[in-house]
Amino acid sequence: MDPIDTLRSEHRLICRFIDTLSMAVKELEEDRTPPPEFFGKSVEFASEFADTFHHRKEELVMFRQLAQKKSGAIDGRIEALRYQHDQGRSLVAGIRDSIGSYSEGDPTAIATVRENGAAYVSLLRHHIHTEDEIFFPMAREEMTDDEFAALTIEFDKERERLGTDTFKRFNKVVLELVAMLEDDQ
Amino acid sequence: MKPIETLSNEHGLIRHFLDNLTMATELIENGQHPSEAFFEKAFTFARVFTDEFHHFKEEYVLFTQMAQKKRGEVDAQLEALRHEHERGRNLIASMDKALPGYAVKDPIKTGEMLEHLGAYTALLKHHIHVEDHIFYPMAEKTLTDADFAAIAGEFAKQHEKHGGETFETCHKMVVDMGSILTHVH
Repeated sequence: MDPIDTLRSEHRLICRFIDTLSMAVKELEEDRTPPPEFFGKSVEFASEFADTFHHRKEELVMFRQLAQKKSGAIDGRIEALRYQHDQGRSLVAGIRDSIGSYSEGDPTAIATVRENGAAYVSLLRHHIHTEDEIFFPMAREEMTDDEFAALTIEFDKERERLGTDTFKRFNKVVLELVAMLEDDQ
Repeated sequence: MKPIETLSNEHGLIRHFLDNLTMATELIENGQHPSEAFFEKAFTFARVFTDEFHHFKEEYVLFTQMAQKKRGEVDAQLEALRHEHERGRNLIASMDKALPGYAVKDPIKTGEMLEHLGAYTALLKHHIHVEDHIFYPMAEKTLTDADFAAIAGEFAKQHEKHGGETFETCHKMVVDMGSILTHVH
């Protein structure tokens, strides 16, 4: 698959995950508490799929390639996208650290999960929109076929490294998350 | 009007305000840019109406009365509600700090605005839910007619202090916020 199409298709899966997380935040707003396993799996998805699998390809492969190509002209924008990845990681870490106390009904931990969950949803939706609408079309215009071919090879290496079934595995995780919320209602 | 009815009506207006914030969040998530004026109005509403007018009556009148009546039994719950008021104030202050950067479309400050907006709306929606469904019904069961008459007297003093028209002025502010959002491109 073309590298931009690969990233876009990963965005669609991340969007489905975010929609599910947003439903869980809504439950929390109404004083219902989805099972702690839901947030455990959400952290797994955010860390392993969104971050290690997807963002890594953007940060270490595509952003780097594009930054060189534009000779500093978009460094500020790329820095902002990287910063948003960092912010996302830190919000997810906050959720991860709170799950133990969340499962014991600790109100501070529940509040952290609720607030960090809501913040993560908004941040990632905006981030994905920016990449889909501005950054990917720019990459499409700027990069040559040879460069795309080189990107494809790098992406394949990443896929090999984390397992060729990574997308399929995390697609299943999202379906499990949806089922958990449905069972909880 | 009965004091609990007064507070519930105020919650209605705060919910309307939160719906505006949610709409603004969704617009930013989709790459649009609600104006600085929208957020200036929002922060004024949060400070003047939510905090000084509404939360003040809860913290210094209703919570105090309930704490005395229940003799320590609900102190932890009241402390949690007070803590959430404080947390809301901090999130508004953080958004206010990010506003100048947001106004010039700084992507990092825009991300910060989104995170705080998500956290603030989730916090307040949950807070209002808990008060409407747990705390106010508990107050209605616990307090006597004489207690409520005393609370109504204190509320009247507060309304007097704020100028009698606070609800109407702030209601207009929320309507204006909605109108600003309909013109966002």
